[in-house]
Amino acid sequence: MRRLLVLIAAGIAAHAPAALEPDWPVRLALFQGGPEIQAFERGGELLVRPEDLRVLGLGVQVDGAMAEVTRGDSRVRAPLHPRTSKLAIEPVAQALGLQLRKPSAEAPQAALLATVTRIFADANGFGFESSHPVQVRSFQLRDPSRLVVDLKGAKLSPSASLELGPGTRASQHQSDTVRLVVETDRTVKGGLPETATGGAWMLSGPEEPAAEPTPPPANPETSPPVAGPKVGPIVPIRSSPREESFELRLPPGSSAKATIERLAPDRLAIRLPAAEWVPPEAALPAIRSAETENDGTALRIALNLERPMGVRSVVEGGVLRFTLVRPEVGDGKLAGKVVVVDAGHGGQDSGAKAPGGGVLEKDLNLAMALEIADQLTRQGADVILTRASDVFLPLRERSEIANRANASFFISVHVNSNRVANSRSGTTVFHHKDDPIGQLLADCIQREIGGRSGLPNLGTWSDGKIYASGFAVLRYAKMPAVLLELGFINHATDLRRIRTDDFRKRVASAVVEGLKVFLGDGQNQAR
Amino acid sequence: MGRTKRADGGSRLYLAIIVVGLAVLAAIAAYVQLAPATKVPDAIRRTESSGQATQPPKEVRVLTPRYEDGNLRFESKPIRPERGEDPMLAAINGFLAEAKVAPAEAKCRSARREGDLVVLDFTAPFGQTYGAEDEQTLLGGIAKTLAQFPGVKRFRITVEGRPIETLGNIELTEPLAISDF
Repeated sequence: MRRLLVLIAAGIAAHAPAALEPDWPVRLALFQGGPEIQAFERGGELLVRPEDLRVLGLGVQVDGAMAEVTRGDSRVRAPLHPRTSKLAIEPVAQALGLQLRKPSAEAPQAALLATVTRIFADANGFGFESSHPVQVRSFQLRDPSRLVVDLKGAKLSPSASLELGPGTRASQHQSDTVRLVVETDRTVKGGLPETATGGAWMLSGPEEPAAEPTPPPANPETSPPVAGPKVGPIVPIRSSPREESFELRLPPGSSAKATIERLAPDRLAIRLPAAEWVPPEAALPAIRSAETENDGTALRIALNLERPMGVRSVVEGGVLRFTLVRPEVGDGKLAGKVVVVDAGHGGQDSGAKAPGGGVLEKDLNLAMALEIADQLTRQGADVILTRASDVFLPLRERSEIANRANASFFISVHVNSNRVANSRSGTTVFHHKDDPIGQLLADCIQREIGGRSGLPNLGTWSDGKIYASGFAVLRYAKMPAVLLELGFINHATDLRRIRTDDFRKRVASAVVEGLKVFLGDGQNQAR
Repeated sequence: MGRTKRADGGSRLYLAIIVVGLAVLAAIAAYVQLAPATKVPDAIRRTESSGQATQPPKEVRVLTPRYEDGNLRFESKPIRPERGEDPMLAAINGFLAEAKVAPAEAKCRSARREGDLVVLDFTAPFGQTYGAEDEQTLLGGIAKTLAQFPGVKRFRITVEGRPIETLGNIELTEPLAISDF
């Protein structure tokens, strides 16, 4: 039976919120890589021309100031924006049981995704249920043998029923793909459909007793090549003591989807649409080895570097050009290095305040800076504190202290806050704009903080994300510099944790370890 | 008979609607006449160079910030400034009220145009430092609020007429470009 939903809320949304700026064009796909249309971001809302929705396989009828959108058994009536005759897509998508993934820095394309509500699997078969048809892809991987089933154009519901036996697992693999893995060398009996809203499938061969779960491999596996466009080899184009530059010619049409990301301080990944990988014929400078994983829809080339290195990259004219940048590390030892530790705020500048105003950021920063200084000193570093007591210092003077001392590192210590108490939790490390060495240092330190602090890891951010010129202390510092945001002062759990000796000791040890990884000091060089 | 009753009932209904409507209009008129424009004192409600105090106020948009998946976003809603109230001040103070980052007593006192630059002067409670996300919310929200006013490309912040160094990490000693947010 067809459902009829009249969206009063959508009507309000279409009329009330509007824009300060012109419509901001965004690509909207039925799923990542699927058919796509032009959408427009306006005041935090995503608008579309209603007739364009037909490209996504949705039925559309415009009747005066209203549009009726249908998909499967679901039907929605929603008002058009009075001036632009566009349609706010989010309430329509929700009413149709689809999830709108809005564009972000990580995934600039918006997408409409089906909701997976149930996944079940054991050693002899598997199945799923979803709100709308999804693309189904399967392939085999080795070491250990396993069957991978990808549901593309789908989001795993937080309340999904997961009935998973030993040797099976399911998760949101990518922002638009739910992945089910069954550890087996058997194939799907009768094969899988290209699209489905759900179903159950048996594996070939006799039934087996359930296997013990096997931990996932530590390193990405190399999967068998698939037919399709070829990519590679990576070609070295320029070499200097500080930098190694390379080119990778991309298959036609894949430039927009080529990305390079850091997996670890000494490990990068190039991600491309599915292609056959052509390995380099000779050893590449600064790159120890390359491993590939090709799941039929995407190719990941993992590059194991000779040491932690910075990276710059650009895609131009169908070519990915990337440069690996060696940090200047002197003798590679933390001992003897000058490290400036900057406790943010101080004196009349209290920084953020905890609810009630009893706990001030300046005091938390100083306690943390003193602990970091103590642990660095015990490692033989020569530490300079910008302030060792409750005094005020201008922003520029903090960096100038490090510049005058010709320091090797500048580390500024802060605690974050968000307008909505208890809404944001975790740690972040900022680096200056797109400086590859600052980014590497931030990655080295945040990786350790994320693993030790007991607070969520919010990753590393460029200060250019806050303001194009970045933070003053990072902009003025002439050496590798980072700014730590160690939890949120107005998050109750964070604040309790931040105020403990254990947190301070763990974060300080993380900073020490991150610097050692950056320098290649000791056994961490080959992580 | 029955028809007459329905007609009488309909007349009464129309009369009641008209009476209620007039009462609502009278209440709105009384409110507009008597209620304070906003919590901003009259003395700080005009832009020094606007010259718009006697013009019918135009609609402006007030932003509300929110974090979504770690990204700062803004929604906006239209408001019509009070007669005599400067639209730019109404938009900035509306944003401050929506954002709830600065103390409730923090207000923008004036917005002075100098070509493509606007100098925003705030009351003393605004002049403090904030955490990184709150600083991003305040400055980003002010920049995007000003973006609705044609010709405004840069802004500078002062507190009680004096320049300030920062609200946290971003240097405010030079004007900030709206396009940099």
